Amino acid sequence: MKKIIEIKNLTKKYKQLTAIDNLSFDVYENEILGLLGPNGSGKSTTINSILSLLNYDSGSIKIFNKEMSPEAYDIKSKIGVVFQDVAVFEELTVIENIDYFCGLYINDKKIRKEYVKDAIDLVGLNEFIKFYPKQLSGGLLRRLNIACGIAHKPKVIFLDEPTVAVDPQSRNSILEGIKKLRENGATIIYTTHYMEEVEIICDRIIIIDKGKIIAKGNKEELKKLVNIEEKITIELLEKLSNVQKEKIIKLNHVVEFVEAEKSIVLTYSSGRKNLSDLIEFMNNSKIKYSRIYSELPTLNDVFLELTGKELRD
Amino acid sequence: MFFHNFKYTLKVLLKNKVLVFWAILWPLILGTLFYMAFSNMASSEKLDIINLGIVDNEYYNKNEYLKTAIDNLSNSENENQLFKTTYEDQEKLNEMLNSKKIDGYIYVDINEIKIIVKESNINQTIIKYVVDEIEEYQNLISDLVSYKVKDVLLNNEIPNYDQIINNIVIKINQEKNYFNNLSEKNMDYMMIEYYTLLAMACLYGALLSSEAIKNYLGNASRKGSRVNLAPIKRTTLIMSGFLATFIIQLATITSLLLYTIFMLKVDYGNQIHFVILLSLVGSIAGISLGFLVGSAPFKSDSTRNGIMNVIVMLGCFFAGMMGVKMKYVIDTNLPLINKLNPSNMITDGFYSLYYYDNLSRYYFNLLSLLFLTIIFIIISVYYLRRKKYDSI
Repeated sequence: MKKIIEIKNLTKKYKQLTAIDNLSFDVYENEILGLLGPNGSGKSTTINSILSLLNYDSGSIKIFNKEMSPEAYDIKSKIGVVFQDVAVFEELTVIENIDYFCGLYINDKKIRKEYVKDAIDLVGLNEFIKFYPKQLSGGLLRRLNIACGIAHKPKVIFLDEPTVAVDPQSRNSILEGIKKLRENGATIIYTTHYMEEVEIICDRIIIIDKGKIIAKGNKEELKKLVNIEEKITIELLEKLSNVQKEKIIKLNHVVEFVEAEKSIVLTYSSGRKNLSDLIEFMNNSKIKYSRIYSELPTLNDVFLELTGKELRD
Repeated sequence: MFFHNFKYTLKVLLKNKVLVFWAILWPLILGTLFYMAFSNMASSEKLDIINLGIVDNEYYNKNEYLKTAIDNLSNSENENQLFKTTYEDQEKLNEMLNSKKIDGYIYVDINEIKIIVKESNINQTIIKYVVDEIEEYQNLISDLVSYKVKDVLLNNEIPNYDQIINNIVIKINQEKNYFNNLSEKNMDYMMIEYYTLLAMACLYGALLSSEAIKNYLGNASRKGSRVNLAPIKRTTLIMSGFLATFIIQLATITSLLLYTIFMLKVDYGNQIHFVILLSLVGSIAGISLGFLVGSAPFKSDSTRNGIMNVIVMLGCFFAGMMGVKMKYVIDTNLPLINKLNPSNMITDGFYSLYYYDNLSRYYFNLLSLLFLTIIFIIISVYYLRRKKYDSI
């Protein structure tokens, strides 16, 4: 696969704090790369350094096989960015905002008009083109933010937490839009701390914490890194006795037993028929329960296993 | 790209209600308020004649030039009468001065003309101003006489005293008009309010330009970061932004001048072209101030706005916007502040056009303002050259 971005030994320090610590990774053509990490892990700093907005202490950044710099206009013309904060003009309507940002890349008015229309279609803002940003809901505003960043049809798109604080409907619409961008040939670098989104759209994932890469690969590869096969939750109708608890813990493949007020969660390291075995045990032991269900490990479990803390911390 | 950015900068600035209010409407509103507040005061001040004492001695009576000038300015039939004069001996005048029956008195001895006052208010300043002017012209005429006589003697000609006297009479007649005008001028202190208003409007260009520049800098706003990532040279952005702000500023100043001249009947004198020139330079100074404050690495917008307000509003206050006396107080006690104050440079430039017949003080202010503008631009360029930041 063709490398679009090459980052080697990138380090960025803020006085005593090392925000990015010797980071190296590549981004390949037409992939969606998820950059995952908790708040303050260095995701945005990494993006801003790649875009040459931030000074960095050492390392090299190549995009399209050329050194990235503030004067690299040929590279910049192929990049689109959607920042976490909404960056649009309150004084301009939806269509004017998109036209303004697109016009910084596309001189030809005819082509620009077409591109602006395509961007509006992509994010589903057709009914709102004459609206001012303050008249839009949070979700629609995020869609406008995305349209402003991608209207010029860039080949590489950086999306920095574009779905923060949006309603589920807008989130789905945004995620669908991102998939379409990839279908149209774009390479996407997607930062977020919502692992469900990453699971849905990303081909490859890099998990960052404290400015360092702690894991990378596709979601299957990442899940293999941790010692979890599945998690089974039992919602109880009565309290368990100590003897019953002891027996459950000793069941095959159980590596963790967590008790809540009216439920227990069992973590299994392996095994193919854990659920049926457990149901059989519950019935034989005459333990009353209302519900019992199994979940496969998530990226959050991976992150928890690797770092000892929740991804959204 | 240039016209694309120019068009949208114009749009963004003109649709920003807060900016439009402060930079465009507020000067018009303030001008109207000045008109309502000061127009009555101006007419009442016209009747406020200065009580001037003269020590009635032989030196005063021998000083024809001073005597003629004071008589002229004290003529009760003159609608622009400036002084009401009292001729007494020095002792009696001192008593009158202590009991505040007169604002000051003139004492002429063999060598000089002395002004005796007890306070330092506007009336005393006018007395001093009038006497200084008279002395200046008196010296000029003496030089003229001696020069002519010397010139004639050097050429071995018999001095034509009639011709010399004739020259002096012509000069005095010319100056009579000057003294008549002088009394008119003193009445229009409210003009300083309008000058500071113009100065404020010029410098409020800073609000427009700082808002524009924020949108081009990666460390100033997220919109700036987004614009920074576009393949467009920063000079193109800045020049198109400058043009947009300058056009708005030009329209603002033009409408303010037209409004004050035609609606508020403000008389800027017969040198309107100089008023316009200073307004243009003032506007450029304002815009460059905005570029400087907008591009400086302040952490927050409130710091930027605070600094701009201090420079513009406090500057206008020191230049006499909220009371003419403040200008005198600062000029007298803290002259450096007003020498560096762009509001005062503009106000003082207009003031000098109105009060002085020569343009040297006007040009001094104009050049000072240009010099300050160049400094603003140099510092702005230093900040604007940075394209990568340590933090954003």
